[in-house]
Amino acid sequence: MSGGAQPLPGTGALAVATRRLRRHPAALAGLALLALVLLPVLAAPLLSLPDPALTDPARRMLPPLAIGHLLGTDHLGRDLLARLLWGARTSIAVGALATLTAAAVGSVLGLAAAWGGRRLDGLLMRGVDVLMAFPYLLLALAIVAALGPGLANAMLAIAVANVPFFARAVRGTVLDIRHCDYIAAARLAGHGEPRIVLREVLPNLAPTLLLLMTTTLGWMVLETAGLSFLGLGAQPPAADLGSMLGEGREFLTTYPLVAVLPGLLILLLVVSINLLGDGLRDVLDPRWSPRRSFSAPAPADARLQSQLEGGASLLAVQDLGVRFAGAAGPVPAVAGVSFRLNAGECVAVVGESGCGKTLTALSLLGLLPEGASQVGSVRLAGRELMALDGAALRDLRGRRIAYVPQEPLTALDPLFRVGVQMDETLRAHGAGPAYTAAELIRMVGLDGVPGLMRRYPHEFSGGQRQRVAIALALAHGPDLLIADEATTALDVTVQREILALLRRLCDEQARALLFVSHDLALVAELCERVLVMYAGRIVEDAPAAALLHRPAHPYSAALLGATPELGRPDKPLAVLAGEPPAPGERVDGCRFAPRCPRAQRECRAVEPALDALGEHRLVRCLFPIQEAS
Amino acid sequence: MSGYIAKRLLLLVPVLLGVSLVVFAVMSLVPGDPALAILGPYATPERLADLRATLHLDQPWPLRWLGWLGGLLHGDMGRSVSLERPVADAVFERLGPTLLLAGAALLLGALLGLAAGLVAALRHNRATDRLVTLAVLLGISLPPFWLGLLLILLFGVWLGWLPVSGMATAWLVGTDAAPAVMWLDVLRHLLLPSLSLALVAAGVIGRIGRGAALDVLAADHIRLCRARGLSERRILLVHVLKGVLARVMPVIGLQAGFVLGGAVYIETIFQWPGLGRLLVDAIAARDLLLVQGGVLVLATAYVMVNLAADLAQHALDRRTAAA
Amino acid sequence: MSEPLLALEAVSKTYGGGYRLWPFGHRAGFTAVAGVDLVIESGAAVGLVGESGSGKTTLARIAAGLLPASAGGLRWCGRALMQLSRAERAEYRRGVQYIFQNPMTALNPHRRVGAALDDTLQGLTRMDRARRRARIEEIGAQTGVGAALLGRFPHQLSGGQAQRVAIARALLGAPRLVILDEPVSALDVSLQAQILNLLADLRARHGLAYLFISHDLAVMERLCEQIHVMQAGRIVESGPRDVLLRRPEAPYTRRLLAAVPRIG
Repeated sequence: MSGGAQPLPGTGALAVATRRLRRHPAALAGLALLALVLLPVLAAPLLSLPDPALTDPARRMLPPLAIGHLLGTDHLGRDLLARLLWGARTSIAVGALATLTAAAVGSVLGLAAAWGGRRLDGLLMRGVDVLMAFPYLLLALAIVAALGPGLANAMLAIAVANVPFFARAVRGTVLDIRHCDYIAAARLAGHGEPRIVLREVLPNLAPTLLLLMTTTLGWMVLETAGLSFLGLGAQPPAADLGSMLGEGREFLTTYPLVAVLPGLLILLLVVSINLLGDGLRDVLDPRWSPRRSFSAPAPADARLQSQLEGGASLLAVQDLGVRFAGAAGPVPAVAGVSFRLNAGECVAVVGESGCGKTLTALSLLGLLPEGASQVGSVRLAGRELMALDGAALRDLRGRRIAYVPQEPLTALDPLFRVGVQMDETLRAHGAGPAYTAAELIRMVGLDGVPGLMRRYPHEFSGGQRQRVAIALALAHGPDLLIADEATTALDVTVQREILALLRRLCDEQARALLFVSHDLALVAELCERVLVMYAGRIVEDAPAAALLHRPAHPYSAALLGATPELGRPDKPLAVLAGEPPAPGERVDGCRFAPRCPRAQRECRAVEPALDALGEHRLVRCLFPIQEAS
Repeated sequence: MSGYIAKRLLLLVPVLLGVSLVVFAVMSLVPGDPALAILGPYATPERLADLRATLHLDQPWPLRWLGWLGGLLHGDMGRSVSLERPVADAVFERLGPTLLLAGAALLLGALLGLAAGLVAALRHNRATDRLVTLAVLLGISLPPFWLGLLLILLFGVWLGWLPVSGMATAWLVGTDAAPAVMWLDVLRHLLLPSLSLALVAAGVIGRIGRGAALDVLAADHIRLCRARGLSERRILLVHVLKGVLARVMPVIGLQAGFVLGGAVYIETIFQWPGLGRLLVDAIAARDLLLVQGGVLVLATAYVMVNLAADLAQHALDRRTAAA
Repeated sequence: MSEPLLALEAVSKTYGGGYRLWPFGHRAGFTAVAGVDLVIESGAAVGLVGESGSGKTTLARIAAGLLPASAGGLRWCGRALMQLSRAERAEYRRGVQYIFQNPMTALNPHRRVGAALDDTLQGLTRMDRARRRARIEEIGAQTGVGAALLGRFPHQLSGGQAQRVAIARALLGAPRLVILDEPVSALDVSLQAQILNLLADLRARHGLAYLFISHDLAVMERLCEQIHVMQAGRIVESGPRDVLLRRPEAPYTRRLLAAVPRIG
């Protein structure tokens, strides 16, 4: 997947798709099955088969493996295998033709609706709405009823009945594409509408269309067969799989094979087409990658029996690691994280995206996403959380440790009123809540908001929603609040209010706070101590003031140097070259060394430990920046 | 909410008008002479002229449409040539059994599909998930008419457990059997036909349901539910289920279209006395007024079910725009 | 005195609205921008600050010609946009470019970077193939888009790389004004610093005018000489950077300033 290739517009995507198809088991299975069915069907004229229409009443209903008739004969003595293969040819041809017709007409209509302005869109879509108001088989039936039975009419009817489906799907996709910034970018490049449709829209529509056609091909084969089954499609002596099934129905009790085999062939055809379609959907998505199999969470490392004994710490984390199952073994995303948090203390975890700060926070709650597992030791007031089972952990969550999410619009359940979510939270633990709902609402400053409990999350402003989320977190008077980028999605003025609220709540009730953020300046105002993370490790653990004025780790210094400060527009922004290593990427020695301006040869030999520097500070660096410099 | 319902009901009027126009136009734009098609080549010119007059074939079709609409307002759908009775009577007599069949199939399909989707999502990427996913794919690919035949063969012919035709046992009809006995008999007859449709509908619903459940299970708000210390039972049965239902509801509405259309096959196979079979017979007899009436009534039923599904979704998820 | 490069005159934008059938009557739309005047001189860096929903992105899109205004209009070099000749319109098109907040969605996922850049040059200029290639190389060298990136698809780029590609694309046609819509707010601090330095460099090198949209006053202070504060679709305060940030008058500007976290 590395991009060393020459720019070859157009052909690249196809090559990539083909390569991926080979790694997609479901798609391959579909392809193989389809080939298995199609090969004899396509080769039917080449095989020396009896004439499928030749009747021979003397040799009717012969069992399979009869001489000259591999699958036997039907009620008129016609060779079953020949009829199946020729019938399948008809079914596939009719289905494919109907799909192409419906796709072509539907795409043009959908494109016109999406691109042709509001009037045309309104007109076309009302028409589509009316056609979609029919159960689609009924529309096809009505058309056949009007035109009269026959294979061509059945095909036409099915194509027409599916046009609205294509029109609507294509319109939706094109509208999505139309709102993408790259369409605006093409306009900025001065391109006209035809070229934008041709070069920007169609290539992005093509995968969707191909996928729709594959899915629809299956239906169309089914529907054609259905109409023929009812006697409205293929007329004798011509036959497709559906009409064979319809004829065979009369002999169901005496000779079931005549009805069962055509249906089985239809099923095989449609299953293989659908399997292939599912595979195509993945393969055509440029963001898809072959799925990794995730293993069950690994048990806690026995070697890491906590060296921390009790102590005064509320939270003691020792050698915490988070791993993702990867194709080539576990990929460590967080490793060797150790820190302590005292009651009533506000500590921040700071780092850039992908450094593992959110995973660290979630692992304290045992809420890692699927596919991730954790090792190490997490002790809350001396009790080892890693040894707890699900029920015991659940009992702690919300009661002793609570969580304030980043984006409360998605983190509060959008389908339940705030009152319901408040109520269930208050009742989640047997001991009963620490506060009443009214007390909580007053605590977070939401008293006086009319109809608060009866409203849904989306009916609040961002700041109000975050207050609701904080109220839920406080319900059982937890000792520790974990706030994960809790103010990032908010406007600056609101952010300020929420920060003040968090600070006040922790101060008044001697509650500890672990505040995860990417914003150093922000956490400096809120927290006493800051943990700086880089590439899954804590690189510095220092009091906030000391960190801001005299960062010891070169990465902390670089972060500070890169942060613009209001009132210092001429401060030169220090630039860190390159980007952090990906999880699992091998880096010899210190993980920061490749980007570090102070790196020496030793740095690339061994990874430094998190060592004390002075009284209140831990640094993971062989050559920390000293006070003097 | 009541305002939303009123708005949606009002929006139905143009859609149903459009539906009737399409039905009428399709039937009227046929090449050839419908009267000739009905009576056959040996009909006398007098009889042909007579029939043309009864069917108002001498008028331009938009005018005939208006006349037909006017009749609809009085519940008059014209007179069936093949049955020699009013279309409305024939259609509404057959509507009940079709709704029973389609309703049972949709209910069964929705329950099976939702269960399959949820189980697969909860066992994501494990053997159960793969198995369910495969079963769901088979369901989507099954021809319902073939499935019906297989069920007849298995349960009717070979095992002999269940009746394979009609809606009720002949000797019960017209007797003063207890209602419970009667209903039980209808249920026995209902099982195979509704299952033939339900398994296919369950495939589609299960596929969408699995995707929806995976989305919901990975959503931030489910994580916050866990962080709040809610029990897994409550998270699954209240939060996840409602989220999945809200997403799957429109698909269930669309599947109503499949079961109502598919009823045509199934009623033919199981000799179910419903509207679908009436339609097939009407098409064979080229009885266009009967086809018109039947299609319009089924389309109306479909539109109503879809409306109900939309309303249910709106009730589940108040963010959905009242458009 | 020369005419300003781009002037927005009493620009308004209303979304939705219009007549409806049931219940019959006029429906009020949502007014995102309400009668804004804004002048950008040649070579000036103008900042537009405001919170989400204040209408700053809508205003920027109108300035770039990506969105029609509901009322009011634009002047390009002193001439109303409607009165421009065909050639002058092309010059406006080449002269105003836009950099989007999310660089990923601004790139067609099915086009390689090199092809996307080439498309832009084809649209804006009449260069032949060799000159286009040379121009892409030249701008690529200035923006850090090397040959290795040209062969990649957008999903193979990191956020910082994608934003560099977007900047390169904006500069290819030698624009006079670049509109930057929160160009660094999706990036981490270290990448943000790289891009901010790059933007300052490029402006000095090409004599560009910037319309810089952001919610971050510290970032804005570095890049802009003139700052406009926007709230609920209106400009509530404007002024030279130092005056506005040191002696803010409007209460909203004061609140914004007070909310900025400070180091130390």
